[in-house]
Amino acid sequence: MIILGIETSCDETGVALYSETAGLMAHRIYSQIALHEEFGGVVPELASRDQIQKLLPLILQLLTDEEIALSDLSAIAYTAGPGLAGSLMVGACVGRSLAYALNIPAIPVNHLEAHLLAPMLEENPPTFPHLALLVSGGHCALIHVEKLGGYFIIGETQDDAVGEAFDKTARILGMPYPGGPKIATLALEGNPTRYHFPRPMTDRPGLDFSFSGIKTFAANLIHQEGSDPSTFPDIAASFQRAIIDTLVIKSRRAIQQTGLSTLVVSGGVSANQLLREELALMARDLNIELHFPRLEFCTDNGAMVAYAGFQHIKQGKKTDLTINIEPRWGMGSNLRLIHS
Amino acid sequence: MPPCVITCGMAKILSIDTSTAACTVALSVEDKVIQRHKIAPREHAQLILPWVDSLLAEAGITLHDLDAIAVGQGPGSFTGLRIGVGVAQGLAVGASLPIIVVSSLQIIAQTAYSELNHEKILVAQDARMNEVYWAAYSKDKTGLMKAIVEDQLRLPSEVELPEGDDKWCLVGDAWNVYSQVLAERLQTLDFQPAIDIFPKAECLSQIASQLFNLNQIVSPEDAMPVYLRGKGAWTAVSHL
Ligand SMILES: Nc1ncnc2c1ncn2[C@@H]1O[C@H](COP(=O)(O)OP(=O)(O)OP(=O)(O)O)[C@@H](O)[C@H]1O
Ligand SMILES: [Mg+2]
Repeated sequence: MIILGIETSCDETGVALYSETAGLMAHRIYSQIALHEEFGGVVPELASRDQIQKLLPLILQLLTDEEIALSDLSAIAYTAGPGLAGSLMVGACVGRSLAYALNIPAIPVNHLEAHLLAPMLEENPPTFPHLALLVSGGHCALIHVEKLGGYFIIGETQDDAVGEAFDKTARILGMPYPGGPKIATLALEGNPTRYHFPRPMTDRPGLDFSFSGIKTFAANLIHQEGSDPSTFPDIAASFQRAIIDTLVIKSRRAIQQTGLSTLVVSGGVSANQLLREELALMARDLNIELHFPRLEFCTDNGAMVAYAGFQHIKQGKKTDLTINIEPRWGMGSNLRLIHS
Repeated sequence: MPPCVITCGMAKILSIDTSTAACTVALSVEDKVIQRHKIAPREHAQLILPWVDSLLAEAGITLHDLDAIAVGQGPGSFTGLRIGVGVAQGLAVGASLPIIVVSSLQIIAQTAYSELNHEKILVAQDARMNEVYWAAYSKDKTGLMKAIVEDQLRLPSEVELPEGDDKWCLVGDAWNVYSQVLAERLQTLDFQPAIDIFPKAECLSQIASQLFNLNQIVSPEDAMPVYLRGKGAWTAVSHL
Protein backbone atom coordinates (compact mmCIF):
# COMPACT_ATOMS: atom_id res chain seq x y z
CA MET A 1 0.00 0.00 0.00
CA ILE A 2 1.44 3.38 -1.10
CA ILE A 3 -0.10 6.71 -0.07
CA LEU A 4 0.49 9.99 -1.86
CA GLY A 5 0.44 12.90 0.61
CA ILE A 6 -0.26 16.48 -0.47
CA GLU A 7 0.32 19.57 1.69
CA THR A 8 -0.83 22.99 0.41
CA SER A 9 -2.18 24.70 3.53
CA CYS A 10 -0.11 27.88 3.28
CA ASP A 11 3.04 28.87 1.42
CA GLU A 12 4.73 25.51 1.06
CA THR A 13 3.91 22.86 -1.52
CA GLY A 14 4.77 19.44 -0.10
CA VAL A 15 4.31 15.98 -1.61
CA ALA A 16 5.42 12.59 -0.33
CA LEU A 17 5.04 8.85 -0.80
CA TYR A 18 4.50 6.66 2.25
CA SER A 19 4.54 2.88 1.97
CA GLU A 20 2.98 0.50 4.45
CA THR A 21 6.00 -1.78 4.22
CA ALA A 22 8.88 0.59 3.46
CA GLY A 23 7.75 3.64 5.43
CA LEU A 24 8.51 7.06 4.00
CA MET A 25 9.78 6.52 0.45
CA ALA A 26 10.49 10.09 -0.64
CA HIS A 27 9.24 13.62 -0.36
CA ARG A 28 9.58 17.00 -2.10
CA ILE A 29 9.01 20.53 -0.87
CA TYR A 30 8.71 23.74 -2.79
CA SER A 31 8.83 26.83 -0.57
CA GLN A 32 7.42 30.19 -1.63
CA ILE A 33 9.49 32.18 0.88
CA ALA A 34 11.18 34.24 -1.86
CA LEU A 35 7.81 35.19 -3.38
CA HIS A 36 6.42 36.55 -0.10
CA GLU A 37 9.58 38.20 1.19
CA GLU A 38 8.98 41.36 -0.84
CA PHE A 39 5.49 41.65 0.71
CA GLY A 40 6.64 41.11 4.31
CA GLY A 41 4.33 38.13 4.78
CA VAL A 42 2.17 35.63 2.98
CA VAL A 43 -0.26 37.15 0.46
CA PRO A 44 -3.05 34.54 0.29
CA GLU A 45 -3.98 35.05 -3.36
CA LEU A 46 -0.37 34.87 -4.52
CA ALA A 47 0.23 31.80 -2.35
CA SER A 48 -2.76 30.09 -4.01
CA ARG A 49 -1.47 30.96 -7.47
CA ASP A 50 1.90 29.48 -6.71
CA GLN A 51 0.29 26.35 -5.27
CA ILE A 52 -1.54 25.51 -8.49
CA GLN A 53 1.55 26.22 -10.55
CA LYS A 54 3.82 24.01 -8.49
CA LEU A 55 1.67 21.14 -7.21
CA LEU A 56 1.16 18.93 -10.25
CA PRO A 57 4.75 19.20 -11.57
CA LEU A 58 6.00 18.35 -8.07
CA ILE A 59 3.78 15.24 -7.87
CA LEU A 60 4.81 14.06 -11.33
CA GLN A 61 8.50 14.67 -10.60
CA LEU A 62 8.30 12.73 -7.35
CA LEU A 63 6.64 9.76 -9.06
CA THR A 64 9.14 9.80 -11.93
CA ASP A 65 12.16 10.05 -9.62
CA GLU A 66 10.91 7.20 -7.47
CA GLU A 67 9.83 5.12 -10.46
CA ILE A 68 6.33 4.81 -9.03
CA ALA A 69 3.41 4.66 -11.47
CA LEU A 70 0.12 6.38 -10.71
CA SER A 71 -1.46 2.93 -10.78
CA ASP A 72 0.79 1.90 -7.85
CA LEU A 73 -0.96 4.39 -5.55
CA SER A 74 -3.48 3.00 -3.05
CA ALA A 75 -4.83 6.29 -1.68
CA ILE A 76 -4.31 10.03 -1.75
CA ALA A 77 -4.22 12.16 1.42
CA TYR A 78 -4.40 15.95 1.30
CA THR A 79 -4.48 18.69 3.91
CA ALA A 80 -8.05 20.00 4.19
CA GLY A 81 -7.43 22.52 6.99
CA PRO A 82 -6.70 24.58 8.92
CA GLY A 83 -4.97 27.04 6.60
CA LEU A 84 -5.52 29.53 3.79
CA ALA A 85 -8.71 28.71 1.88
CA GLY A 86 -7.27 29.37 -1.57
CA SER A 87 -4.15 27.29 -0.95
CA LEU A 88 -6.08 24.43 0.68
CA MET A 89 -8.49 24.36 -2.25
CA VAL A 90 -5.70 23.61 -4.73
CA GLY A 91 -4.48 20.50 -2.89
CA ALA A 92 -8.03 19.34 -2.22
CA CYS A 93 -9.18 19.73 -5.86
CA VAL A 94 -6.14 18.13 -7.44
CA GLY A 95 -5.88 15.39 -4.79
CA ARG A 96 -9.56 14.49 -4.69
CA SER A 97 -9.94 14.48 -8.49
CA LEU A 98 -6.79 12.45 -9.06
CA ALA A 99 -8.02 9.87 -6.54
CA TYR A 100 -11.38 9.74 -8.32
CA ALA A 101 -9.71 9.19 -11.69
CA LEU A 102 -7.53 6.44 -10.23
CA ASN A 103 -10.52 4.92 -8.44
CA ILE A 104 -8.75 4.95 -5.06
CA PRO A 105 -9.80 6.46 -1.71
CA ALA A 106 -9.11 10.09 -0.84
CA ILE A 107 -8.45 11.20 2.74
CA PRO A 108 -8.72 14.81 3.95
CA VAL A 109 -6.12 15.35 6.67
CA ASN A 110 -6.05 17.86 9.52
CA HIS A 111 -2.82 19.82 9.23
CA LEU A 112 -2.38 20.03 13.00
CA GLU A 113 -2.81 16.31 13.43
CA ALA A 114 -0.22 15.86 10.67
CA HIS A 115 2.22 18.07 12.61
CA LEU A 116 1.50 16.06 15.79
CA LEU A 117 2.26 12.81 13.99
CA ALA A 118 5.42 14.03 12.20
CA PRO A 119 7.73 12.60 14.92
CA MET A 120 6.29 9.14 14.14
CA LEU A 121 8.30 9.21 10.91
CA GLU A 122 11.55 8.93 12.91
CA GLU A 123 13.28 5.81 14.16
CA ASN A 124 12.00 4.60 17.55
CA PRO A 125 8.75 6.56 17.23
CA PRO A 126 6.89 7.67 20.34
CA THR A 127 4.14 5.45 21.73
CA PHE A 128 0.70 6.43 23.02
CA PRO A 129 -0.32 7.99 25.32
CA HIS A 130 1.98 11.00 25.35
CA LEU A 131 2.11 14.73 25.85
CA ALA A 132 2.45 16.80 22.68
CA LEU A 133 3.80 20.34 22.50
CA LEU A 134 2.70 21.87 19.19
CA VAL A 135 4.63 25.04 18.42
CA SER A 136 3.95 26.35 14.91
CA GLY A 137 3.31 29.50 12.94
CA GLY A 138 -0.37 29.56 13.78
CA HIS A 139 -0.62 27.48 16.96
CA CYS A 140 0.82 26.85 20.39
CA ALA A 141 -0.73 24.12 22.50
CA LEU A 142 -0.12 21.32 24.95
CA ILE A 143 -2.11 18.27 23.99
CA HIS A 144 -2.78 15.06 25.84
CA VAL A 145 -2.57 12.48 23.07
CA GLU A 146 -4.40 9.41 24.30
CA LYS A 147 -4.23 7.54 21.04
CA LEU A 148 -4.43 8.16 17.33
CA GLY A 149 -7.41 10.49 16.94
CA GLY A 150 -7.73 11.08 20.69
CA TYR A 151 -6.38 14.59 21.22
CA PHE A 152 -7.24 16.65 24.28
CA ILE A 153 -5.97 20.21 24.49
CA ILE A 154 -4.85 20.92 28.04
CA GLY A 155 -3.26 24.29 27.37
CA GLU A 156 -3.15 26.76 24.49
CA THR A 157 -2.23 30.30 23.63
CA GLN A 158 -4.68 33.04 24.53
CA ASP A 159 -3.36 35.34 21.82
CA ASP A 160 -0.39 35.00 19.44
CA ALA A 161 1.02 31.67 18.32
CA VAL A 162 4.66 31.16 19.22
CA GLY A 163 5.92 31.22 15.60
CA GLU A 164 3.86 34.34 15.05
CA ALA A 165 5.60 36.03 18.00
CA PHE A 166 8.98 35.15 16.47
CA ASP A 167 7.91 36.42 13.04
CA LYS A 168 6.43 39.70 14.30
CA THR A 169 9.41 40.51 16.51
CA ALA A 170 11.77 39.69 13.66
CA ARG A 171 9.89 42.11 11.48
CA ILE A 172 10.38 44.94 13.97
CA LEU A 173 14.08 44.07 13.93
CA GLY A 174 13.96 44.52 10.16
CA MET A 175 14.28 40.85 9.24
CA PRO A 176 12.21 39.38 6.39
CA TYR A 177 9.50 36.74 6.78
CA PRO A 178 9.70 34.10 8.23
CA GLY A 179 11.76 35.58 11.02
CA GLY A 180 11.90 32.64 13.48
CA PRO A 181 15.08 31.04 12.15
CA LYS A 182 16.68 34.48 11.64
CA ILE A 183 16.06 35.48 15.29
CA ALA A 184 17.57 32.18 16.38
CA THR A 185 20.70 32.87 14.33
CA LEU A 186 21.04 36.46 15.53
CA ALA A 187 20.58 35.29 19.13
CA LEU A 188 23.71 33.17 18.84
CA GLU A 189 25.80 36.36 19.02
CA GLY A 190 23.72 37.96 21.79
CA ASN A 191 23.58 38.01 25.57
CA PRO A 192 20.31 36.40 26.70
CA THR A 193 20.48 37.94 30.21
CA ARG A 194 20.94 41.57 29.15
CA TYR A 195 17.20 42.33 28.98
CA HIS A 196 14.55 40.98 31.32
CA PHE A 197 11.57 39.93 29.25
CA PRO A 198 8.42 38.71 31.01
CA ARG A 199 7.62 34.98 31.18
CA PRO A 200 3.85 35.42 30.77
CA MET A 201 1.41 33.31 32.80
CA THR A 202 4.16 31.30 34.46
CA ASP A 203 3.62 32.74 37.96
CA ARG A 204 0.15 31.25 38.30
CA PRO A 205 -1.19 27.74 37.82
CA GLY A 206 -2.49 26.58 34.45
CA LEU A 207 -1.11 25.44 31.14
CA ASP A 208 -2.21 28.27 28.84
CA PHE A 209 0.20 30.58 27.07
CA SER A 210 0.27 34.23 26.09
CA PHE A 211 2.90 35.66 23.78
CA SER A 212 1.58 39.05 22.74
CA GLY A 213 3.07 40.61 25.90
CA ILE A 214 6.57 39.38 25.03
CA LYS A 215 6.15 40.73 21.52
CA THR A 216 4.99 44.14 22.79
CA PHE A 217 7.84 44.19 25.29
CA ALA A 218 10.25 43.61 22.42
CA ALA A 219 8.67 46.40 20.37
CA ASN A 220 8.95 48.88 23.26
CA LEU A 221 12.50 47.82 24.06
CA ILE A 222 13.64 48.26 20.46
CA HIS A 223 12.11 51.72 20.47
CA GLN A 224 13.72 52.57 23.84
CA GLU A 225 17.12 51.54 22.56
CA GLY A 226 16.66 53.89 19.62
CA SER A 227 16.38 51.03 17.12
CA ASP A 228 20.15 50.69 17.48
CA PRO A 229 21.24 47.60 15.50
CA SER A 230 24.10 46.94 17.93
CA THR A 231 21.48 46.04 20.57
CA PHE A 232 19.63 43.63 18.26
CA PRO A 233 21.62 40.47 19.04
CA ASP A 234 21.04 40.94 22.79
CA ILE A 235 17.36 41.70 22.21
CA ALA A 236 16.98 38.62 19.99
CA ALA A 237 18.77 36.42 22.53
CA SER A 238 16.78 37.74 25.50
CA PHE A 239 13.50 37.45 23.58
CA GLN A 240 14.21 33.90 22.49
CA ARG A 241 15.27 32.96 26.01
CA ALA A 242 11.97 34.24 27.43
CA ILE A 243 9.90 32.29 24.88
CA ILE A 244 11.84 29.08 25.38
CA ASP A 245 11.79 29.41 29.19
CA THR A 246 8.01 29.83 29.05
CA LEU A 247 7.56 26.78 26.84
CA VAL A 248 9.79 24.69 29.10
CA ILE A 249 8.07 25.81 32.32
CA LYS A 250 4.65 24.90 30.93
CA SER A 251 5.81 21.61 29.45
CA ARG A 252 7.34 20.60 32.78
CA ARG A 253 4.13 21.52 34.53
CA ALA A 254 2.04 19.53 32.04
CA ILE A 255 4.21 16.44 32.45
CA GLN A 256 3.92 16.66 36.22
CA GLN A 257 0.17 17.24 36.07
CA THR A 258 -0.62 14.41 33.65
CA GLY A 259 1.99 11.94 34.84
CA LEU A 260 2.79 11.17 31.20
CA SER A 261 6.29 9.91 30.55
CA THR A 262 6.79 10.97 26.93
CA LEU A 263 6.96 14.45 25.42
CA VAL A 264 6.55 14.86 21.65
CA VAL A 265 7.36 18.26 20.13
CA SER A 266 6.36 19.37 16.63
CA GLY A 267 5.56 22.36 14.40
CA GLY A 268 7.90 24.92 12.84
CA VAL A 269 9.32 26.26 16.11
CA SER A 270 10.38 22.74 17.16
CA ALA A 271 13.29 23.33 14.75
CA ASN A 272 14.63 25.87 17.27
CA GLN A 273 17.95 24.66 18.63
CA LEU A 274 17.68 26.28 22.04
CA LEU A 275 14.22 24.78 22.55
CA ARG A 276 15.60 21.35 21.66
CA GLU A 277 18.50 21.70 24.08
CA GLU A 278 16.43 23.05 26.97
CA LEU A 279 13.75 20.39 26.59
CA ALA A 280 16.45 17.73 26.47
CA LEU A 281 17.77 18.97 29.83
CA MET A 282 14.24 18.95 31.24
CA ALA A 283 13.57 15.44 29.93
CA ARG A 284 16.74 14.15 31.54
CA ASP A 285 15.76 15.84 34.78
CA LEU A 286 12.22 14.39 34.75
CA ASN A 287 13.41 11.08 33.34
CA ILE A 288 10.98 11.13 30.42
CA GLU A 289 11.30 10.28 26.74
CA LEU A 290 11.60 13.18 24.29
CA HIS A 291 10.79 13.14 20.56
CA PHE A 292 11.20 15.68 17.77
CA PRO A 293 10.70 15.44 14.01
CA ARG A 294 13.87 15.75 11.90
CA LEU A 295 14.46 19.43 11.12
CA GLU A 296 12.89 19.38 7.66
CA PHE A 297 9.66 17.87 9.02
CA CYS A 298 9.18 20.54 11.70
CA THR A 299 7.77 23.01 9.18
CA ASP A 300 5.07 22.14 6.63
CA ASN A 301 5.75 19.07 4.49
CA GLY A 302 3.98 16.33 2.55
CA ALA A 303 5.50 13.45 4.53
CA MET A 304 3.48 14.13 7.67
CA VAL A 305 0.29 14.35 5.58
CA ALA A 306 1.00 11.05 3.82
CA TYR A 307 1.66 9.44 7.21
CA ALA A 308 -1.51 10.83 8.81
CA GLY A 309 -3.46 9.69 5.74
CA PHE A 310 -1.97 6.23 6.03
CA GLN A 311 -3.11 5.97 9.65
CA HIS A 312 -6.65 6.91 8.68
CA ILE A 313 -6.83 4.63 5.66
CA LYS A 314 -5.80 1.74 7.91
CA GLN A 315 -8.96 2.48 9.88
CA GLY A 316 -10.99 2.38 6.66
CA LYS A 317 -11.72 6.09 6.57
CA LYS A 318 -12.26 7.97 3.32
CA THR A 319 -14.27 10.83 1.93
CA ASP A 320 -17.10 11.06 -0.61
CA LEU A 321 -16.98 12.93 -3.94
CA THR A 322 -17.65 16.39 -2.55
CA ILE A 323 -14.49 18.44 -2.19
CA ASN A 324 -14.44 20.12 1.20
CA ILE A 325 -11.90 22.29 2.93
CA GLU A 326 -11.98 23.54 6.53
CA PRO A 327 -9.85 26.71 6.77
CA ARG A 328 -10.67 26.99 10.49
CA TRP A 329 -10.58 23.33 11.34
CA GLY A 330 -9.73 23.14 15.02
CA MET A 331 -8.06 20.40 16.92
CA GLY A 332 -8.65 18.61 20.17
CA SER A 333 -11.26 15.94 20.52
CA ASN A 334 -13.25 17.27 17.55
CA LEU A 335 -10.46 15.97 15.33
CA ARG A 336 -12.28 12.69 15.53
CA LEU A 337 -14.96 14.16 13.28
CA ILE A 338 -12.51 14.49 10.40
CA HIS A 339 -13.99 11.83 8.20
CA SER A 340 -17.39 10.83 7.01
CA MET B 1 -20.40 -1.93 -41.95
CA PRO B 2 -18.04 -1.73 -38.97
CA PRO B 3 -18.45 1.31 -36.77
CA CYS B 4 -16.12 4.10 -37.77
CA VAL B 5 -14.80 5.40 -34.50
CA ILE B 6 -11.94 7.70 -35.33
CA THR B 7 -13.13 9.63 -38.33
CA CYS B 8 -16.87 9.87 -37.83
CA GLY B 9 -17.24 9.77 -34.07
CA MET B 10 -17.26 13.15 -32.34
CA ALA B 11 -14.61 13.45 -29.66
CA LYS B 12 -15.74 12.49 -26.18
CA ILE B 13 -15.01 15.53 -24.04
CA LEU B 14 -15.80 16.47 -20.46
CA SER B 15 -16.21 20.25 -20.17
CA ILE B 16 -15.99 22.30 -16.97
CA ASP B 17 -16.29 26.00 -16.21
CA THR B 18 -16.28 27.46 -12.69
CA SER B 19 -15.20 31.01 -13.48
CA THR B 20 -18.50 32.59 -12.40
CA ALA B 21 -21.29 31.92 -9.91
CA ALA B 22 -22.44 29.19 -12.31
CA CYS B 23 -21.10 25.70 -11.80
CA THR B 24 -21.38 24.06 -15.19
CA VAL B 25 -20.25 20.63 -16.41
CA ALA B 26 -21.05 18.91 -19.70
CA LEU B 27 -20.23 15.64 -21.40
CA SER B 28 -20.24 15.31 -25.17
CA VAL B 29 -20.48 11.78 -26.54
CA GLU B 30 -21.29 10.86 -30.10
CA ASP B 31 -23.46 13.75 -31.23
CA LYS B 32 -25.09 14.29 -27.86
CA VAL B 33 -24.23 16.74 -25.11
CA ILE B 34 -25.53 16.29 -21.58
CA GLN B 35 -25.08 18.99 -18.98
CA ARG B 36 -25.39 19.83 -15.29
CA HIS B 37 -25.71 23.52 -14.55
CA LYS B 38 -26.53 25.53 -11.44
CA ILE B 39 -26.02 29.08 -10.21
CA ALA B 40 -24.36 28.09 -6.96
CA PRO B 41 -21.83 30.54 -5.55
CA ARG B 42 -19.32 28.83 -3.23
CA GLU B 43 -20.69 25.34 -3.93
CA HIS B 44 -18.63 24.50 -7.01
CA ALA B 45 -16.12 22.27 -5.23
CA GLN B 46 -18.92 20.24 -3.71
CA LEU B 47 -20.94 19.84 -6.90
CA ILE B 48 -18.35 19.17 -9.50
CA LEU B 49 -17.16 15.57 -8.97
CA PRO B 50 -20.62 14.16 -8.15
CA TRP B 51 -21.80 15.73 -11.44
CA VAL B 52 -18.87 14.31 -13.39
CA ASP B 53 -19.66 10.90 -11.94
CA SER B 54 -23.37 11.08 -12.75
CA LEU B 55 -22.78 12.39 -16.30
CA LEU B 56 -20.40 9.51 -17.02
CA ALA B 57 -22.90 7.04 -15.56
CA GLU B 58 -25.72 8.51 -17.62
CA ALA B 59 -23.63 8.14 -20.80
CA GLY B 60 -22.58 4.65 -19.76
CA ILE B 61 -18.85 5.38 -20.10
CA THR B 62 -15.89 5.89 -17.78
CA LEU B 63 -13.39 8.70 -17.52
CA HIS B 64 -10.87 6.55 -19.37
CA ASP B 65 -13.16 6.43 -22.44
CA LEU B 66 -12.83 10.19 -22.89
CA ASP B 67 -10.58 11.91 -25.44
CA ALA B 68 -9.97 15.12 -23.50
CA ILE B 69 -11.05 17.40 -20.67
CA ALA B 70 -11.94 21.01 -21.46
CA VAL B 71 -11.81 23.76 -18.88
CA GLY B 72 -12.60 27.46 -18.81
CA GLN B 73 -9.32 29.06 -17.79
CA GLY B 74 -10.63 32.54 -17.01
CA PRO B 75 -10.60 35.35 -16.50
CA GLY B 76 -13.07 35.16 -13.63
CA SER B 77 -13.28 34.33 -9.93
CA PHE B 78 -9.71 33.44 -8.86
CA THR B 79 -10.71 30.62 -6.55
CA GLY B 80 -13.25 29.43 -9.10
CA LEU B 81 -10.58 29.20 -11.79
CA ARG B 82 -8.34 27.14 -9.53
CA ILE B 83 -11.20 24.79 -8.70
CA GLY B 84 -11.91 24.18 -12.39
CA VAL B 85 -8.27 23.86 -13.41
CA GLY B 86 -7.31 21.82 -10.33
CA VAL B 87 -10.12 19.32 -10.92
CA ALA B 88 -9.37 19.15 -14.65
CA GLN B 89 -5.70 18.51 -13.88
CA GLY B 90 -6.42 15.74 -11.38
CA LEU B 91 -8.89 14.01 -13.69
CA ALA B 92 -6.65 14.38 -16.75
CA VAL B 93 -3.51 13.07 -15.08
CA GLY B 94 -5.36 10.16 -13.52
CA ALA B 95 -6.99 9.12 -16.81
CA SER B 96 -4.03 10.03 -19.08
CA LEU B 97 -5.98 12.67 -20.97
CA PRO B 98 -4.97 15.99 -22.51
CA ILE B 99 -6.61 19.25 -21.50
CA ILE B 100 -8.18 21.88 -23.73
CA VAL B 101 -8.10 25.36 -22.22
CA VAL B 102 -10.65 27.94 -23.35
CA SER B 103 -11.19 31.57 -22.40
CA SER B 104 -14.12 31.88 -20.00
CA LEU B 105 -15.14 35.06 -21.83
CA GLN B 106 -15.27 33.08 -25.06
CA ILE B 107 -17.56 30.54 -23.36
CA ILE B 108 -19.82 33.39 -22.25
CA ALA B 109 -19.86 34.79 -25.81
CA GLN B 110 -20.64 31.35 -27.23
CA THR B 111 -23.44 30.91 -24.69
CA ALA B 112 -24.78 34.36 -25.50
CA TYR B 113 -24.80 33.51 -29.21
CA SER B 114 -26.68 30.30 -28.59
CA GLU B 115 -29.22 31.96 -26.30
CA LEU B 116 -29.69 35.34 -28.00
CA ASN B 117 -28.86 34.29 -31.56
CA HIS B 118 -26.75 37.44 -31.88
CA GLU B 119 -23.45 37.10 -33.77
CA LYS B 120 -21.55 40.05 -32.32
CA ILE B 121 -21.04 39.88 -28.58
CA LEU B 122 -19.28 42.26 -26.21
CA VAL B 123 -18.45 40.62 -22.88
CA ALA B 124 -18.00 42.78 -19.79
CA GLN B 125 -17.56 41.00 -16.46
CA ASP B 126 -17.13 42.84 -13.16
CA ALA B 127 -13.51 42.33 -12.06
CA ARG B 128 -13.91 44.38 -8.83
CA MET B 129 -11.40 47.13 -7.95
CA ASN B 130 -13.24 49.32 -10.48
CA GLU B 131 -12.13 47.21 -13.43
CA VAL B 132 -13.79 44.90 -15.95
CA TYR B 133 -12.81 41.81 -17.88
CA TRP B 134 -13.56 42.82 -21.42
CA ALA B 135 -13.57 41.29 -24.91
CA ALA B 136 -15.44 41.40 -28.22
CA TYR B 137 -16.37 38.16 -29.97
CA SER B 138 -17.80 37.58 -33.41
CA LYS B 139 -19.19 34.43 -35.03
CA ASP B 140 -16.93 32.84 -37.65
CA LYS B 141 -18.10 30.65 -40.55
CA THR B 142 -17.88 27.48 -38.46
CA GLY B 143 -20.35 28.86 -35.95
CA LEU B 144 -17.79 29.56 -33.24
CA MET B 145 -17.28 32.87 -31.48
CA LYS B 146 -13.78 34.26 -32.15
CA ALA B 147 -12.11 37.18 -30.38
CA ILE B 148 -12.11 40.46 -32.33
CA VAL B 149 -10.89 42.33 -29.25
CA GLU B 150 -8.74 40.06 -27.07
CA ASP B 151 -9.60 39.40 -23.42
CA GLN B 152 -8.38 42.28 -21.28
CA LEU B 153 -8.59 43.81 -17.81
CA ARG B 154 -9.41 47.50 -18.05
CA LEU B 155 -11.10 50.42 -16.40
CA PRO B 156 -14.61 50.53 -17.89
CA SER B 157 -13.74 53.95 -19.31
CA GLU B 158 -10.77 52.50 -21.20
CA VAL B 159 -12.02 49.26 -22.76
CA GLU B 160 -10.80 48.66 -26.31
CA LEU B 161 -13.52 49.13 -28.90
CA PRO B 162 -14.00 46.87 -31.93
CA GLU B 163 -13.67 48.55 -35.33
CA GLY B 164 -16.44 48.79 -37.92
CA ASP B 165 -20.13 49.62 -37.65
CA ASP B 166 -21.50 46.27 -36.57
CA LYS B 167 -24.44 45.96 -34.25
CA TRP B 168 -23.26 44.59 -30.90
CA CYS B 169 -24.94 42.96 -27.99
CA LEU B 170 -23.31 43.51 -24.59
CA VAL B 171 -23.49 40.73 -21.99
CA GLY B 172 -21.99 40.14 -18.55
CA ASP B 173 -22.50 41.38 -15.03
CA ALA B 174 -20.37 44.53 -15.38
CA TRP B 175 -23.35 46.36 -16.89
CA ASN B 176 -25.14 46.17 -13.54
CA VAL B 177 -22.27 48.01 -11.87
CA TYR B 178 -20.74 50.31 -14.50
CA SER B 179 -23.63 51.00 -16.91
CA GLN B 180 -23.06 54.74 -16.89
CA VAL B 181 -19.35 54.81 -17.55
CA LEU B 182 -19.58 51.90 -20.00
CA ALA B 183 -22.40 53.61 -21.92
CA GLU B 184 -20.25 56.69 -22.20
CA ARG B 185 -17.25 54.74 -23.44
CA LEU B 186 -19.37 52.84 -25.97
CA GLN B 187 -21.29 55.83 -27.29
CA THR B 188 -19.77 55.59 -30.79
CA LEU B 189 -20.80 51.94 -30.95
CA ASP B 190 -24.16 50.55 -32.03
CA PHE B 191 -24.88 48.27 -29.11
CA GLN B 192 -27.64 47.05 -26.84
CA PRO B 193 -27.14 45.69 -23.35
CA ALA B 194 -28.66 42.28 -22.79
CA ILE B 195 -29.27 40.38 -19.62
CA ASP B 196 -26.48 38.80 -17.65
CA ILE B 197 -25.30 35.58 -19.29
CA PHE B 198 -23.68 32.74 -17.36
CA PRO B 199 -21.32 30.42 -19.24
CA LYS B 200 -22.72 27.01 -20.12
CA ALA B 201 -20.49 23.96 -20.36
CA GLU B 202 -22.41 22.65 -23.39
CA CYS B 203 -21.21 25.73 -25.27
CA LEU B 204 -17.68 25.13 -24.02
CA SER B 205 -17.86 21.61 -25.40
CA GLN B 206 -18.75 23.05 -28.82
CA ILE B 207 -15.59 25.16 -28.81
CA ALA B 208 -13.53 22.34 -27.32
CA SER B 209 -14.54 19.84 -30.03
CA GLN B 210 -13.15 22.11 -32.70
CA LEU B 211 -9.94 22.78 -30.76
CA PHE B 212 -9.53 19.04 -30.23
CA ASN B 213 -9.80 18.40 -33.96
CA LEU B 214 -7.15 21.07 -34.51
CA ASN B 215 -5.00 19.27 -31.93
CA GLN B 216 -4.98 22.38 -29.71
CA ILE B 217 -4.41 20.45 -26.52
CA VAL B 218 -2.04 20.88 -23.59
CA SER B 219 -0.65 18.47 -21.05
CA PRO B 220 -2.30 18.69 -17.61
CA GLU B 221 0.57 20.52 -15.89
CA ASP B 222 0.46 23.20 -18.59
CA ALA B 223 -3.23 23.95 -18.05
CA MET B 224 -3.19 27.12 -15.93
CA PRO B 225 -5.69 29.78 -14.92
CA VAL B 226 -5.49 33.11 -16.74
CA TYR B 227 -6.19 35.78 -14.13
CA LEU B 228 -5.27 38.90 -16.15
CA ARG B 229 -4.78 40.68 -12.83
CA GLY B 230 -1.05 40.43 -11.99
CA LYS B 231 0.74 40.46 -8.67
CA GLY B 232 1.24 44.22 -8.95
CA ALA B 233 -2.31 44.51 -7.59
CA TRP B 234 -1.15 43.35 -4.17
CA THR B 235 0.71 45.56 -1.74
CA ALA B 236 2.79 44.78 1.32
CA VAL B 237 1.11 42.81 4.09
CA SER B 238 0.27 44.88 7.15
CA HIS B 239 1.48 43.52 10.46
CA LEU B 240 0.84 43.73 14.22
N1 LIG C 1 14.57 27.77 14.30
C1 LIG C 1 13.41 28.38 14.52
N2 LIG C 1 13.22 29.12 15.62
C2 LIG C 1 12.04 29.74 15.85
N3 LIG C 1 11.00 29.68 15.02
C3 LIG C 1 11.13 28.96 13.89
C4 LIG C 1 12.33 28.27 13.58
N4 LIG C 1 12.15 27.64 12.38
C5 LIG C 1 10.91 27.93 11.98
N5 LIG C 1 10.28 28.73 12.86
C6 LIG C 1 8.93 29.28 12.79
O1 LIG C 1 8.03 28.26 12.48
C7 LIG C 1 6.86 28.83 11.83
C8 LIG C 1 6.47 27.98 10.66
O2 LIG C 1 6.03 26.74 11.16
P1 LIG C 1 4.88 25.92 10.48
O3 LIG C 1 5.24 25.75 9.05
O4 LIG C 1 4.63 24.73 11.27
O5 LIG C 1 3.70 26.95 10.67
P2 LIG C 1 2.43 27.18 9.77
O6 LIG C 1 2.20 25.98 8.94
O7 LIG C 1 2.57 28.50 9.12
O8 LIG C 1 1.29 27.30 10.86
P3 LIG C 1 0.29 26.15 11.39
O9 LIG C 1 0.98 24.85 11.19
O10 LIG C 1 0.06 26.49 12.81
O11 LIG C 1 -0.93 26.28 10.57
C9 LIG C 1 7.24 30.25 11.45
O12 LIG C 1 6.59 31.12 12.34
C10 LIG C 1 8.75 30.26 11.66
O13 LIG C 1 9.25 31.53 12.00
MG1 LIG D 1 2.17 24.13 9.66
